[in-house]
Amino acid sequence: MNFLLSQDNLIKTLDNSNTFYFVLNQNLQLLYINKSAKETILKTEEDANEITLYDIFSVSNKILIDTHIIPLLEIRGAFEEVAVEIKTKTGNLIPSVLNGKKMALKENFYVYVLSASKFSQRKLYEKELIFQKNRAEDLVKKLEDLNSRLEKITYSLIHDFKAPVNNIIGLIDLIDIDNNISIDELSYYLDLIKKSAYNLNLMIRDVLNQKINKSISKSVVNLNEIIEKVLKLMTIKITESQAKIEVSKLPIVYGDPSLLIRVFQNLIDNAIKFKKINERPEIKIFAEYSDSFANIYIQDNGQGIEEEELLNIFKFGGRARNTSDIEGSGIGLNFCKSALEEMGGELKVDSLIGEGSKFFFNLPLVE
Amino acid sequence: MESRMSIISKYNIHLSGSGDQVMLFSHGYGCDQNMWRFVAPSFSDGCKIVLYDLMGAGRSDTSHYTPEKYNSLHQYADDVLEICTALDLKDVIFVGHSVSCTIGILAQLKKPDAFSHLILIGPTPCYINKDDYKGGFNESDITNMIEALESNFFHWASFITPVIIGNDEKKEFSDELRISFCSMPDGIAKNFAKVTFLGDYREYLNQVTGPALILQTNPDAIVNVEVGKYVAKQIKNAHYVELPTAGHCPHLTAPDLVISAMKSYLK
Repeated sequence: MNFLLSQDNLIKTLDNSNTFYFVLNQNLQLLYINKSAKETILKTEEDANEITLYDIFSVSNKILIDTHIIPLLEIRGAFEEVAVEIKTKTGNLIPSVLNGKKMALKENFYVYVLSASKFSQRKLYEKELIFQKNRAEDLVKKLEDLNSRLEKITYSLIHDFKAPVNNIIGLIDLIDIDNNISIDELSYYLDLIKKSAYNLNLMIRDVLNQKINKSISKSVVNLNEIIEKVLKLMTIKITESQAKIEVSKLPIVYGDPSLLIRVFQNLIDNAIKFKKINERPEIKIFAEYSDSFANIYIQDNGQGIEEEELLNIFKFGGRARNTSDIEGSGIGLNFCKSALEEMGGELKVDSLIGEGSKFFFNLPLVE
Repeated sequence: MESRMSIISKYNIHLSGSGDQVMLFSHGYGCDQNMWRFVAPSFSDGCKIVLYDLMGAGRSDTSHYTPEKYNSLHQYADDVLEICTALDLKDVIFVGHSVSCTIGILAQLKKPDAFSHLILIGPTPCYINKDDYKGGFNESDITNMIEALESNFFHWASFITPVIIGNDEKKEFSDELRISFCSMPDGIAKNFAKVTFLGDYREYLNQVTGPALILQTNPDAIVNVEVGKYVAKQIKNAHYVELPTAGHCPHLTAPDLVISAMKSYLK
């Protein structure tokens, strides 16, 4: 131990260390620099008398000296593991980790002792870590988006599945209640039940076949046929509500038939659901034409929607304030809007409180 | 208007000393009000001392910080005025270091009556060289510095610890690291660096009426002597004093010189 503690040997040890050592006065002038640092940083031996701490680091580190390093030395007496870049005599920058301590050599004479170790390899790890962190954050965001989309789809499907199931239950109830039901009537009801079940089956099949990002299958669709199917599917609801539905001649358009069935179902269902109290719902379905597009209107004589609610109703889960006592999940219109947008159309609404609503969408016409 | 107590907690204000004269100390980029620990106590006999942390720094309530709100030093000047109003401070001697010098200048411009003197340690209205003006840095130096902040360990600690721990349960651990490294939350450190080092507030200097004391060290690697002299020339009623010491933080490295220059000016 005595051998190691001789001053010459200590200096020799410091000089031969791979770590750079600097001792500075409070004006940041060099009092001591070890040999390895000297050989790497100084151009000439005389430089040792002239340079300050600022000259050892890259320009960008200069500011850190005053904003962090000196305050920490003066306030805390030390700092650890500060990443810096040491400027070599050839102008290269060596990523290093710097430690420092303020020491009193004698009364009222303080020095800063700094040591810097190269950490090129560690710097690479750090870069990789930051890269991986950003990548993980991106992935988490994508997963969250996908998750939220899946959730929306699930809600939307449950909402859509309810319609045929309710239809079937309603029809069975009718058969149950009516003791004097004729064979013809029974056959009619069974046919409707079959259609609802068939529709449900179709929807399930569509879901099973559908991937999240699957593009919709657009084809030539005769909207008159679509409406016919929809009205059959909704027979119970229409009969029960005594709704009067007037359908004008509709065009042939490009679209996805199964999506269009669900769109009309939702819009007609809403027109019936949001009818005026003690008033028979009257629904008009008609088309207008402009250039290569058809505008399809579903107009009702219902309660109407407040102006400030008009944007809200298309949001996922969004419902007008005056409808809280009416069954509904606020999903149907969101689905219609998205589905029509997927088909290249747009869903809009005009409405007046007490007068009724007019939902309309456009779709490309088949020439 | 927010209450006195909420302002005290918002800016982590510490009051000490006694007397009618108020001295408000505003620290520079990097640390917090601890920067004044060697200077402020020397004035507590006869003065009311007000120390605070710039929004985003130290233990200020960073819930008030948004990058949009703090996109220039004007908001920091408004903060100073908010403190003066809430604490009913009048004829304040504003002592600022580095970026806080500009904050003090902007605050006095907005409400001249609130301040009796400005004491500016290492002031610079612009760190970047522009035409004949030699701020000391090229824009790319500053951009590199801001990038360096991102990978620096001061910042690294607060940045990487939650990643390693993987949840917020040990938030106090990362907070402790952050505070112990004298650093700011990631985003704030970067935004404040941009606001501080990329800003140009030269146009406001000759609108300030002072009186002001400019304390300039020689040499100062961050703010060169020419900048100090430029500031003194632009501000009306400014008194320029060059301290015979080096470095940008004389209030830490040569506090006696700073105290005696301030006392002799205020005499």
